[in-house]
Amino acid sequence: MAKRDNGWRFVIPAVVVLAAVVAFPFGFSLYISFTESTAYSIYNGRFLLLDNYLGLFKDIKFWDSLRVSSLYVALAVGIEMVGGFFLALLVDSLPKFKKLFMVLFILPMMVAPLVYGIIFKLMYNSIYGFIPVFFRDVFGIEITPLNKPFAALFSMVVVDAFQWTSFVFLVFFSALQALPREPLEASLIDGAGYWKSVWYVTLPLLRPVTAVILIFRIMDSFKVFDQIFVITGGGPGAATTTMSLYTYFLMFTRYNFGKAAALTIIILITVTLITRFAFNALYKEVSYQ
Amino acid sequence: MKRKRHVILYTIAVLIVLLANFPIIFIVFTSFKPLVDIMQPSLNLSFTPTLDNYKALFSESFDFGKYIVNSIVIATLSTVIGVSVSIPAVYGISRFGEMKKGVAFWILSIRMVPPIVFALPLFLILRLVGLIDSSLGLILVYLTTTVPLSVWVLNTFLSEIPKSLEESAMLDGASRSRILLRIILPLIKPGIVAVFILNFIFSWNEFFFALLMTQDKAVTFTVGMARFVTGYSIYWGSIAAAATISMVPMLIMTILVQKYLVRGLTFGAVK
Amino acid sequence: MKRWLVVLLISFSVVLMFATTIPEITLFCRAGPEGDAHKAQVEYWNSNLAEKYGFKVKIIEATRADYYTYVNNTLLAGGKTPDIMESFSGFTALYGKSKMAFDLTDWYYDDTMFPYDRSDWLDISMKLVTYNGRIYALPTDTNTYLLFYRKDLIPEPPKTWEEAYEVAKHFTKKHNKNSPTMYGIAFYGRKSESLPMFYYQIFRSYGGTWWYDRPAFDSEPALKALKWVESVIKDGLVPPDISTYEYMEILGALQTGQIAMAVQWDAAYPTLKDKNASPLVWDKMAVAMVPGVETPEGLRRAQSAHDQMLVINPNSEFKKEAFTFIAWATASPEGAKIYAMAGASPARKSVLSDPEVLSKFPRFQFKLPALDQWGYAEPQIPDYPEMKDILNTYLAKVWALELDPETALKRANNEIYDFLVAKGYYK
Repeated sequence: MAKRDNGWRFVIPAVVVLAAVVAFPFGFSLYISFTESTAYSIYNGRFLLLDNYLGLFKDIKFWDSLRVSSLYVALAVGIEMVGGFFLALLVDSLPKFKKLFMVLFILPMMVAPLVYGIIFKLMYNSIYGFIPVFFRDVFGIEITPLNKPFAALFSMVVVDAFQWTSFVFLVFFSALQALPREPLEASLIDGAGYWKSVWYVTLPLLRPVTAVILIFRIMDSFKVFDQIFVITGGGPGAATTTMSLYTYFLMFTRYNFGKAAALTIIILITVTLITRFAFNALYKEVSYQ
Repeated sequence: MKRKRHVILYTIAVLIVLLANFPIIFIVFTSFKPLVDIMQPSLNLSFTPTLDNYKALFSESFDFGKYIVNSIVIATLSTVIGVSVSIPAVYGISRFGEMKKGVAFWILSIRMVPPIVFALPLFLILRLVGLIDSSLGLILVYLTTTVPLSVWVLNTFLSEIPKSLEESAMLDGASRSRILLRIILPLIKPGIVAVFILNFIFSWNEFFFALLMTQDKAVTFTVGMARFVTGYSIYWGSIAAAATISMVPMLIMTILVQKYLVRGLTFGAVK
Repeated sequence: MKRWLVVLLISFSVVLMFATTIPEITLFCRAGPEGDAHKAQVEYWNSNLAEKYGFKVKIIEATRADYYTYVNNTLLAGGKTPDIMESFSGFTALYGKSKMAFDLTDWYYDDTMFPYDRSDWLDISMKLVTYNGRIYALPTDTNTYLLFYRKDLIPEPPKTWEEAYEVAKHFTKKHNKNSPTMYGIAFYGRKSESLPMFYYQIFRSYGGTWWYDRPAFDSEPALKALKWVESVIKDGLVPPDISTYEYMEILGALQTGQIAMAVQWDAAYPTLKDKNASPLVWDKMAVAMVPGVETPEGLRRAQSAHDQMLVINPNSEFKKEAFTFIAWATASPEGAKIYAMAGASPARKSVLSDPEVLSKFPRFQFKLPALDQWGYAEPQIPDYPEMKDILNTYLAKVWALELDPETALKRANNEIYDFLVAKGYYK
């Protein structure tokens, strides 16, 4: 067979679909990020070159949202990775009913993020919400999850953790099932304690999996919108205004489409850089296998 | 001694299960509480359960049937189309080396951006072709997530299948498409099931775009839930009831197919 | 062969005959009190007036969440439906400049298209739908803030902001262990459309205005107003999650019976007086004008005014029919009265002083003169949304006690000034 088969025909359907629903909107966003696009002149705003971008870099609200997003991602992913890992160890060490516990632990991630937003909105309400009421009636102390800026941010991280720790757990647990048992057993027989064995034996074997989960959780937690919007609306002040919320405000409250588009490009570049970094690290690991 | 350790482990496990699922338990309980009791600043552990909140879902102001049907249709079709388009795409990517890294990364990078990036342009486009407030419109929007996800997950499944299998088939004269259908497809079935479930869950639970792109005819269940924050009151009871109902299919599916989920979500990164 | 042809032709024409049904225009509005009131109007129209005017109306009620975003996106994107949309007067200038809504001026002054009394509007209502002398919508509600309070706990509602502070303190458990309510007062705190509007209430009653030759948010009145808010929040007279409080949350808080007073849109009145919706407080709520400020000339108050208004989609194919309907709905005696009796508040003086309406909704008794005397509207400029958002951001910071009022106002004012200069408002 002399003719070289490139196989493009297999990829065409996906590329066509994605081009329509992704490439075009993307190109559009890119274009208007260079113009002064507002509600009364969407397509033909003044050409501004980089003014929108510079405006964002000079805007303290942009840096605030970047800080909030980074803090949120760091806290949420940190809690989830550690929590999920320990949960996986726990369930893995149960002699019986492993499967049952596994199913029970992954239920939280099947619930819609919006539903979690609604549940926690109800639970956090300072007058009749379950959490303040519980602490008031049982311990006599006032807990107000949404009062101070940092408390509010942390409360939102809690919502995220409740949902996604299950995901981290699932992946780590499945990985643990597939790991060979000999190294760990050998280490324990040799007299090294349980935790030492985990640190020196199990963790290194899980490195590729850890990297993958880390990438996915970072990507996904940058995108968070639904819960925060429903519960705090970005407040108090701007304490929970992440980059995606700030984009929403620019787009649909200020109707400053140009600036919003510029911000989305910046977000894309930021997240791409972070994950590219981790992606390369991952491939390096995998290729060693 | 070992017995004691096990008891401790199980106790901890049970406690954590209760804690982790507390929000879910809470909302189910709340769905049976009368609204007056929900909004009290005291722990109402004893209350007279009522089905009023559920009844409100079937009242004339909440089109329960329509919302559920829309959700099912949109979730199913966006998943089916997304997966169908992704399977050949993944085959192309993994078997035809030159484009591997480039196309794969381009597809994955789409998943990295917050959905809001596409909000306005997609809205304007859908409006242009008259697909606002239509199931088809929302399905197309969801493809931006289902396709990249499917490609990414299926790719790792495909990479586990040795090329020798196909090579012998090709020597026998089978065409590439034939190989895909007859040989590859059955082998990656667990992956397809996992991806199908993941995408279905995503489409079912999605809120932001559904809110933006629908107004009346194509309203899904999640948006319908938001309607209970009405101009009269936050009908917490009915929201809780709607939330409970929306969780049921997901939970059932999880229990039925947890086997495939384990395989699917570990992306074959575990060898 | 011939027979088949004849049958075909006959059936075709029969089908055609039934196919030309009466046209139907769509009215897109917000679920809640306005939605229900519009529903009452639409039902009446379809049963009694559809024949006469030759078209029917179909109503679509949309969820409150993100409502205006959806409306503006729809108008922005073009498209022939819906024909009529309910919007909010803060966008009038934007609609005027961008032509997102259809210009109604010519038809409004045409007696055949608009055969109703043009002087019966509340003065401020018409101002709110006009931009540069052209009319872009017809007002369907005019809303203002009222002070809702528990008449069983507070015999005389406070008249000034200082009095309000003292009353609130008395009814906050933290300061008064015997207080029957947890918190003395509740108001807007979430960064939303309403937050600046609430602030303006206080700001205007202290004598603040928007323009001298620059935006005047760094003036004495502005500072005094914001300081009042800060003191109330700092001293814990409001629920601690006040920064999440919008219309729904304030309503919910009042309904729990744990709040003694609230500053809230008057549209909340019917809900709070409804036995089923507010079982704990329906017979204990009363309303009064929002507190003001004592001056040598007497008590100065302010009444924020904004309209819910109906705009016509400029690409609609039934603009004439749409206009006929909205004219009837907003200005005709029967249309406006149906609207009022169903629980909304039309902008027509005659309806607001109609004895039947008054007996059902006594609050109109002082709403009307209050608006006449103290009513004010927000600036009508196309870039208002962005200007408002700048102020909003800083207000939210003060509400969170992150920034002191003086710094916040100074920065807000400078940023707004720079923004307006960049947009060319100061030549």
